[in-house]
Amino acid sequence: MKDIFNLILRFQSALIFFVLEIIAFCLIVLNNNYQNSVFSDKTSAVSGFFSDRSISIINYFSLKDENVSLIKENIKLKNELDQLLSIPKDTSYQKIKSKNYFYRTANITSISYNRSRNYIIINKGEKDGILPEMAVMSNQGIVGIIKSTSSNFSIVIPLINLSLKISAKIKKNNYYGTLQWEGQNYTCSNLEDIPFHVNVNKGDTIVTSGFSSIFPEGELIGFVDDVERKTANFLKIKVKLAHDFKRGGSLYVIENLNLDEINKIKENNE
Amino acid sequence: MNNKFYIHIVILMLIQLFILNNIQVNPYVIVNIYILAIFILPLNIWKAALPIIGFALGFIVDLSIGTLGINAAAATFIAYLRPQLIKVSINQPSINETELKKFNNSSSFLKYILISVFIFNIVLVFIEAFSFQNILSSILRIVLSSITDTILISIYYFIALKSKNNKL
Repeated sequence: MKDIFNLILRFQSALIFFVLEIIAFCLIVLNNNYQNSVFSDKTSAVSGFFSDRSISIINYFSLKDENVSLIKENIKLKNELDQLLSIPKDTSYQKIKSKNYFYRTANITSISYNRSRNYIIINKGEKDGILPEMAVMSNQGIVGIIKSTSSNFSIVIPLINLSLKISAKIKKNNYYGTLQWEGQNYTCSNLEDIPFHVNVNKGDTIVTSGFSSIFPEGELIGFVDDVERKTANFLKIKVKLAHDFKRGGSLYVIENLNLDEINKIKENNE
Repeated sequence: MNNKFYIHIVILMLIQLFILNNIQVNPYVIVNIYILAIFILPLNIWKAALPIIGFALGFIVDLSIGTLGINAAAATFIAYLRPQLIKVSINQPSINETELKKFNNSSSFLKYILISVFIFNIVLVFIEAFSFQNILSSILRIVLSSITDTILISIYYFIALKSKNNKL
């Protein structure tokens, strides 16, 4: 305490000097219009800089909520888009078809990618209206099909499972074949049953055919990586999958609203 | 030693407030004689009183011109630096009593006035400009104001102070 007092005594004139200069500075800035405008110009630049930074930091922490709300909006828009797409382009034909697909969002609970029969578990189940044989996709591309459901969870058979075969087509010329995984590389799958005369090049887009009544038509599966003539009549096309199975994030579960009708027709036919 | 310095302070302030503050010489020349009041303060004055006196004098001048704080800041600055400036003008790191007694009558006092007036005007002009843009016109103002102030202060000093000091 005594030392502090001595220190203050020693530098008393410097202390008084600084206090008075600060008072003078405040007086200058508060009472002189020109200096005030220059000063507030500078301070607003500084405070603007800092508030900018702090807002970007705060925004970073709210990214998660932001993400959730964006996904919700995305789902809503996808549903609306589907409705709009079902309106016939010919406006003289006024009847609007009911919408074909309904999208729900779900998150991955667990995933495997290094076995021959991989599965994904998602955090939505029967309670959320999810049933077996619904399609699952991400914003990158097709993921797989719901295999079974519990009340809160569902198991998805992804494209990288030996037991899944889906119908796929080449987007540019509509030739369709069967997509089946080879069992090793989780980034690639094979498209088979394409006749050898079909012109396929590296980089061509592979999409869903829409024949299975599970997937909507034209959803992205992947891109042609390599073309090989496997047998005399058919090509073996290596497809680089659009969805990255090592990436987490949210998935969409797609319900075909016309499934009952389609199944009824099929039964009648049999 | 001039012991009636407070009378001179009052006279200097009156000259400043009622005559010089009403004279517009030139936009480049700011006339300030009142800072001589700081220079003629007793040499053995309590150090902490110096910035207070400087602030008070500058503040009064500010009140009369309506530039609150500008003169106060500059005057506080040179008042605080007074002991250091005296050492510089005597050209010795420490000063003893005999040298101090000679100080007010020596040529080093003029040197001290010159340095102080120059520093005072640097602070004053830059606070008034409040930026380092147009630095050439700022420098011109500093130089011209310093010359004018030094001439005025010297005239007052030689008429009112030096002759009396010699008699003492």
